[in-house]
This record gives sequence, C-alpha cells and structure tokens, in this order.
Amino acid sequence: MAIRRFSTAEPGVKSNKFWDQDTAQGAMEPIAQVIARGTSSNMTFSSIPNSYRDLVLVINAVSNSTHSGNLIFNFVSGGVYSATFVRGDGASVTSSRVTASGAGPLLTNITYSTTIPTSNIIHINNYSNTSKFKTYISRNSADRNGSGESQIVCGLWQKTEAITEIILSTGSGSIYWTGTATLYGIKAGA
Amino acid sequence: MTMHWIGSVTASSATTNINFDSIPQTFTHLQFRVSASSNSSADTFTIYGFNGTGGTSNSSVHTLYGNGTSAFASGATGQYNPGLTQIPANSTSINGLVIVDILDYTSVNKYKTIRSIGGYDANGSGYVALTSVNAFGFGSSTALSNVWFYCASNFAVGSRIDLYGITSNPIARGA
Repeated sequence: MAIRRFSTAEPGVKSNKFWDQDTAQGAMEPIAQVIARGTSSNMTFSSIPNSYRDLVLVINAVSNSTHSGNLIFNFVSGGVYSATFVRGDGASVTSSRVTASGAGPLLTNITYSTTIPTSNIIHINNYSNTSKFKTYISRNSADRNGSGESQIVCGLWQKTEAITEIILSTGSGSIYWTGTATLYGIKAGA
Repeated sequence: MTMHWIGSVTASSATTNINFDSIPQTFTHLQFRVSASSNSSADTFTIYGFNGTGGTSNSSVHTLYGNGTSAFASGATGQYNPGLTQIPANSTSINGLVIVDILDYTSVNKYKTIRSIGGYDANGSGYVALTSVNAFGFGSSTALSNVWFYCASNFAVGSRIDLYGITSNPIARGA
C-alpha cells in the first residue's frame, strides 16, 4: 500500500501523510497536512500533484507576534504577487491593495495570541493551468473577546506555471505558528 | 460529508450565459467553483434563472465589497439578476475566482439562500466581495434544478464553472 506524502517539514513542523484508503471517496481529497509546533516561520507543501482541478488550503494557527501571513508558490519570491483586501475589525471596514509583493498576502497584522487561532480557508482554482496567472481567494477571521477581524483577500500570482509548491510564511523572524494546515485537492470529471 | 462533481461548463465562444439545467436532486448542498473573465472590461458576475424563471426571479441581495481603495456595503430588492462580484477583463492573463454555495437547494419549505465569495486582483486594480442572495421571487416551495450565471459583456472564451454536490452520505459516489 502506497503512502501519499506530499508535504515537507522543517524544525518545529510535523507533517502527516494520508493513506490511499483515506482518500478514496468524493471529489475533495486530502493531499497532505502540516502540523506546526514550536518555533517555525514556514509550513511547506511540496510535490503537489497536478491531477486536481482546484486546491483548498485550510489553516488554523496561532502566533507569538503580530504578523502578516503570506503564500509563496514554487519558491518564487520576486515581486510577482498582488492582492485586494476587504477587512472589518469590529469598528470599521476597509479595503486595501498590495502590488509587486514578494509573497502573496493572506493575513494582515494579525494580533498576537498564543491560544486563539486565526482560521483561514484559501481557494486556488485551476492551479495547474499554464496559460493564466493564478488567482486565489482567502477568507480568514479571528475573534479574541474584545478584538478581532474578518478579512477576504483576492490575490494574484503573476506566473503562468503550474503550482507545485506552496509555502505558508510569516515573512520574517522566528515566529510561533502553532497549528495545522491541510491541503485538499478537488477533482472535476467522473 | 462528501463532495461530488456534477458537471462543468466551459465557454467555447464569448457568451452572456453559463447555465446549469436539470441539476440532480440527490445532494444536500451545491457549490459552484468559477474561473472566469469578461470578454470586454471588468464586469459584474450575476446569478439568476432559478428553474428557468429568468426575469421573474425578483431576488434580494446584500453584499460587502472592496475595490482596494474603499469598502462598501449595499443591499437591494427586486433584482432581475443580482451581482455576486466582478470578474476581470479578458485583456490580461487573469481569471476571477468565485465560490458560490447554495445550501439545502432541494428544500420545498424555505427560500433558497445563495452565498458567494469572490473577485479578482489585477496588480493595481481589483474587486473582492462577500454576497448573499435570497431567491425570493422563486419562492419557498420548489426545489432548485436550474441556475444560470450571466455577464453582460460576455464571458470570455475559456471561462469555466464547475458544479459540485455535497452530501451527508459518507460513502456516496456522486450523481
């Protein structure tokens, strides 16, 4: 029985693997899961198969610092990412934009909490297409009993190559990002 | 709960409509996954045609959206084809991304609520929206079997929508 393992780990990060019998049903299949414990700034999914139509990435994680979360595809970190945001923080709603970024924005200035996670669901449609830039949409939220935010991000990776690696990054420094990230593939076709 | 592919529609020529008809009634929820662009400038991506009722759909809509500069909230009633979000112009290599969920679409005793999250970014412009539509004119006593999507400027060639059914049956194998 083969093991389907597509994730990698760095210090403080544990990767899980899914057995074939766990992925037999339905159009949405788990590809891999990364569990971060302790000091880590990255969680990485590599060797993502191109056999799905779309990807869905589900993250539930905490941090030890106010930070922004980012996506990096295929280890490409040049200024080829951009994004449009809409965000509410319990008092006001704003919209903003990032261009020519070295990473794909997911979260902005998530406030420190070691116990209250930020949940995040990211859709990456048509990720293996080689003629279009890659669009992703993320919705993330956290409530910390007096503060919090909900946010929708539509991001663009200005590359036409198929996505085979995804790095979840906190940008810089040694930051706790204790939590889980699970990558799913969605098939189209009988 | 499992997710099953029902069908896909790809625009082979510029077209105003992408329609899903005769949707099977064997699932609990529906999800449409959209990768699309406008054949002209960026334009509104709308939903209507519930069971082919077209202009009599009379839906209500509320939306939260941002354009990268300002954020807005709006609502309206009596909408022929309420906008869910915007999709980008076809002059670039960019598709918009929209996820549209319709829960309990076979219910015959409550109105159908559509939730959409989607938009696009074009490196200097963009639009992102969270939208809820009540297919009010469609009524509460009929299961939903037709859903149409519309772009006034035409969907560009290659625009595609995939439809999935979600069931609570863990061993179901689709339609």
